[in-house]
Amino acid sequence: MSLAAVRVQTELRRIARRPDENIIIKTSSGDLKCFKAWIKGAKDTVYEGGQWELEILVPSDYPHVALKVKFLTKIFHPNINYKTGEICLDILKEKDAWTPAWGIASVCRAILLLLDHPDATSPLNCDAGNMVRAGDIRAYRTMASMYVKKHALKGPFK
Amino acid sequence: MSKEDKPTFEIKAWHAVATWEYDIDVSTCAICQHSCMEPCIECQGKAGSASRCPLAWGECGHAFHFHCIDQWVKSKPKCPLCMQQWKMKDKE
Repeated sequence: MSLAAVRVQTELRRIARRPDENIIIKTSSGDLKCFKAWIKGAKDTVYEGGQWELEILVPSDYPHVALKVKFLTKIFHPNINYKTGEICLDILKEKDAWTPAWGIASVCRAILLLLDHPDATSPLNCDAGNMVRAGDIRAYRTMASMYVKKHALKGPFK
Repeated sequence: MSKEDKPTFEIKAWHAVATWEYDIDVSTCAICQHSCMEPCIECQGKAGSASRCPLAWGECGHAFHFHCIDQWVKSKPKCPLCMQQWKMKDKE
């Protein structure tokens, strides 16, 4: 079995042993290259109450190259493309901050942290980025929570 | 003879077995996620692998399987855990 597959199995065992209450990893029929994950918006943030489905692809050279992660559920956030779900996060890029010490669970946690810590300097959603950059936090919060209500209220979390 | 005088079991022979482990904080290789005490994923199951899968220590104090870190530094010469420039510590 390949390094990628064995490492993913090791990670899944660890996740099953110590689950994170805000993250659910779903493996579909023993496929170790493609997962769906669900993350839940943190309390006291604009994304509270929301839940989003992520697609996680494991490249064959994993963990030497980064996991490929995108949002399947729509979200309004400066660093996430509204249409494609693409995420702008340094640890998801080999040239940037990815190292093999990151894994499925820690990447999901990093994405959850990104939700509450948008970086307006590298926007994938210009409207959201402009609001944050201009300091119009009220507009940003209103838009983000509107899209939570529109797209992100259904999922496996209660 | 009372019941308490009778031994309930008797040791006929015993074999002492010693184990050892590295005295390090991080006992799991961050790259393959396997224990540093065991061979890396690539070497698991290969005959005689334990002796041919050494650990590599960085000057930053982090340890990985030599095979794991050797492959990683080809793409980025930084420690996966602290992102400092990776430099192998000289063997003492």
